[in-house]
Amino acid sequence: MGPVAYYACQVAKEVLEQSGLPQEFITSGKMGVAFGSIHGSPTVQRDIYKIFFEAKDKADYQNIGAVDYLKSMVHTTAVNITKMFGITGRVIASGTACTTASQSIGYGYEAVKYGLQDAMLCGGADEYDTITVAVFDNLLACSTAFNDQPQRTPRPFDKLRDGLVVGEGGGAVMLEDYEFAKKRGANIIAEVIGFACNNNGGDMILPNLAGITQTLKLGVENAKINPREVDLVSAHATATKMGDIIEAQAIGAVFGDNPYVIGLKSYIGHTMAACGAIETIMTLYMMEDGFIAPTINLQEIDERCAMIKHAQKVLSQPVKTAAIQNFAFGGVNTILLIRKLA
Amino acid sequence: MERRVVITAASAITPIGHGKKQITENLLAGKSGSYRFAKTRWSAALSIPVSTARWIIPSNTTSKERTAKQWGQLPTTPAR
Repeated sequence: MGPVAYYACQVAKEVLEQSGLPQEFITSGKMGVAFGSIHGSPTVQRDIYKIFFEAKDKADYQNIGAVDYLKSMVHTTAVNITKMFGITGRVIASGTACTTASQSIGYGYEAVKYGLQDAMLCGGADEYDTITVAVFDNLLACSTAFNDQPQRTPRPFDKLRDGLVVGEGGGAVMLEDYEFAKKRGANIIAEVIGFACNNNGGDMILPNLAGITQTLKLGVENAKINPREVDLVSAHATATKMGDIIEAQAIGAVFGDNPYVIGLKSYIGHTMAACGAIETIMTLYMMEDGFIAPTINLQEIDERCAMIKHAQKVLSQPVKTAAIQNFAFGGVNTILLIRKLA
Repeated sequence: MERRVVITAASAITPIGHGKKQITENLLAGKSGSYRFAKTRWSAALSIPVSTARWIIPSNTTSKERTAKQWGQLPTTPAR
């Protein structure tokens, strides 16, 4: 197991314990796993390449561990979870960069919704790697203006924002059929009421207003709600110069200035394949405890992001319906909609 | 057939904490998880930005100790 799979297995273990699902059910095949990471374990990949490039002769290649592939493959998190807990149902291992975890939750939701599985353990994890930072930096997407005051960055929607900050972590949720959960007396935190995923059909990197606006519309349609019912939007908000403007415009076009909008990456940076799960979980905590955590470092709102309602201080208020948005390289967009049960 | 889908458990490891208590406290306190990453041979070689958010690990532990300390409680065999 590489570090990324440790994160995944740890949160999976906690979620399995918390859910109270009996062991016979977990191993019955009625429960599956939807879990992913961006590219397995970069730490392990580095070890493999090191042996490869430093090899003096062919014999040295024998030092490449056969098991290293299992640690670095893209579905390493999902299958380590199945092995550790004896899960025998479906395996979905999205590897769509920053939308990995939101796709995991979304596809897990669909698997339960359409009766393919009774429960799905969903989430994502990623480990910090300097290569990730280098790649984003070379794309001019990394924050570099606050290297002496790291706590002041990232700054979603702020005038002085200058890019993202690479983070790491893991998050997992247990999704279950409502009737099944009710029958066994499970603690229900919230309902997943909708999910949508689409592609911009264009550039690999540049954010796309039409594509993202369409994602949000599809999500609202899937949830069969009026956009006015959404009272909190957890934005992808990486704090890049263009990304935040396009996202604010899309939110404004679909949800108007009704919901509070927050950028949780201001606290945790961009946790890559984990961000969809971590941001969903933070939103769940706000729903449970009745507060809205503001976007930190948002001191002066960029006027091009000002058409939406930003939360700039902690608000004590109930959250009933929330949307969690994530967008990835390759033009992949997702939205998840969750609602507190009455 | 369309069924309603609910969330019955959630847990996360993040740069501002592990588990609901820590995460909620730090959200309410407006705490940032970004910090200056210690110069490693990688960051020095690439001269990249050193402002990264990550799960904070005691700096006096080696990676092997880190694994043992943090993941020692994990089951080592499949829980069949």
